Amino acid sequence: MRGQPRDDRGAAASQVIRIVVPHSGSPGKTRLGHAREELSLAMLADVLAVATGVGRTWVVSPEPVADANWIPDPGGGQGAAVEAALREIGAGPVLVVNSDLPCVTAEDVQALASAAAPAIAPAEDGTTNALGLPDASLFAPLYGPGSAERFRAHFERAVFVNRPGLRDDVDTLDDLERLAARCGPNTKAALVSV
Amino acid sequence: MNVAVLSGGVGGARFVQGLVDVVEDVTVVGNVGDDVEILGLNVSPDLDSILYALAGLNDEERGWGRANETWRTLEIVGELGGETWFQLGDLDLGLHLVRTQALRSGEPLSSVTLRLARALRIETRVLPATDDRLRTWIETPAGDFPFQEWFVARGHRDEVDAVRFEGEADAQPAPGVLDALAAAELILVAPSNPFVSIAPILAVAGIREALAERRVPAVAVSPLIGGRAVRGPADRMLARLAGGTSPAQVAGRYAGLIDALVVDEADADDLEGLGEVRPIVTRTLMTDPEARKRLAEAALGGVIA
Repeated sequence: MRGQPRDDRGAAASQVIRIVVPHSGSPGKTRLGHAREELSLAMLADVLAVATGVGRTWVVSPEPVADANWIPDPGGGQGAAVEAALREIGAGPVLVVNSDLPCVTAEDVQALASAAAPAIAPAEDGTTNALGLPDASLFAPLYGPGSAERFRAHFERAVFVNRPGLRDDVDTLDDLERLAARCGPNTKAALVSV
Repeated sequence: MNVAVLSGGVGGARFVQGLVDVVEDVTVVGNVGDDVEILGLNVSPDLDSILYALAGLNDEERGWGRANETWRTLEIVGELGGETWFQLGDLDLGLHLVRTQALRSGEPLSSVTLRLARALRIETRVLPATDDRLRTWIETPAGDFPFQEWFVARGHRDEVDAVRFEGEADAQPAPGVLDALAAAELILVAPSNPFVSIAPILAVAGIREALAERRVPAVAVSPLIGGRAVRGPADRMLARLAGGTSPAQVAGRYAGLIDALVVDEADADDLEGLGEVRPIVTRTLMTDPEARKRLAEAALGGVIA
């Protein structure tokens, strides 16, 4: 398409979707029970499979993740981890998609990328599951209780993205069992084994 | 999800029909610049197109007015030497009688419009941009005309030099309009003529300010396909008043007021000059209910599923 902004390598800049997936790594979600690490990695694998199909993807986590572009998590929580990742990958549009969204689809990720303003995918409990940022500089480390509304207040303009794949995060084994039918293949397999 | 949409008549009404299939909470802010008094009756053609479309009573083929309409009253008016240049059907007249009586008894247009919508069992909120008198005037080489005189009586064949809105300095947003814009999670501009359908809405100062200071994205749908209007004079007006019919010229009518513009696939190679406005490319011709729904979904940009 003519008229698209181009970066200095000549590629159509707007066509390269960049995705950061923060993952707290081991011990993962503390409420997932004994199988937490296996399930947490399976959910991450499903999110990464979808994300890499949509765009260039990085994981920010304490330890390297096999077959993924890794950015070390400096510690200090998810906000600090995402800030570190955004420093590493530089300016430009970016999506931040949490690793505990085992039902996320390519269409969900595309919707974040195509929003006409900063996009916020809220969880049922008012926390934030994913962000779509027209530029990395718009990020602020606002995660935690009520963060979806705090992100909305932080942006000059913003839109909530309400799609099941982005809304359904996993805090407990009950969550996972409820969502089992819609989960990605890695999470499904891990659920069978636990 | 809660959406506010600025809309003109026929094309806008079709778009709103698709939108209410996808979004549960919709407020339509309709154009009143082409309202007209005919045979002593107050007619609001754009609001009526929206009401009829949402009630499923609209004539699909003609685009305006009611389906299964008859014209016997107008025939008699003609036989008796009355004015017949503006077509009011027998069924349509019923609505104008109710509205005219209400306005004459002092009821504001917004109130009677909500009442008509309720009577037609429409759940969508339909509001006029303003309850105050706001009238679109068309300036042409042949002289200045009230909108309907230029559009209907003269068949919109005079080239347009300028458009002005009588009463714009004093027009206040109708009750509920600013609340709807403040509560909306997304603001849409229907595929209506930017000069004579949307501009009269934006001529109401409070509405323009609400859009300029919005905290949510605003997305307009271009009324052009391949640089041509599906119906009406939007393409000729853009060419003459904005210097061209590309998406950039459409977006230019809404400078600072929109974040994205939905354009047809036929215009996908012509996206230069949009600046900050993000293009959303899709098929925009609303041929049937499915196509209308798809267009609404494209305008929403996948923010709900």
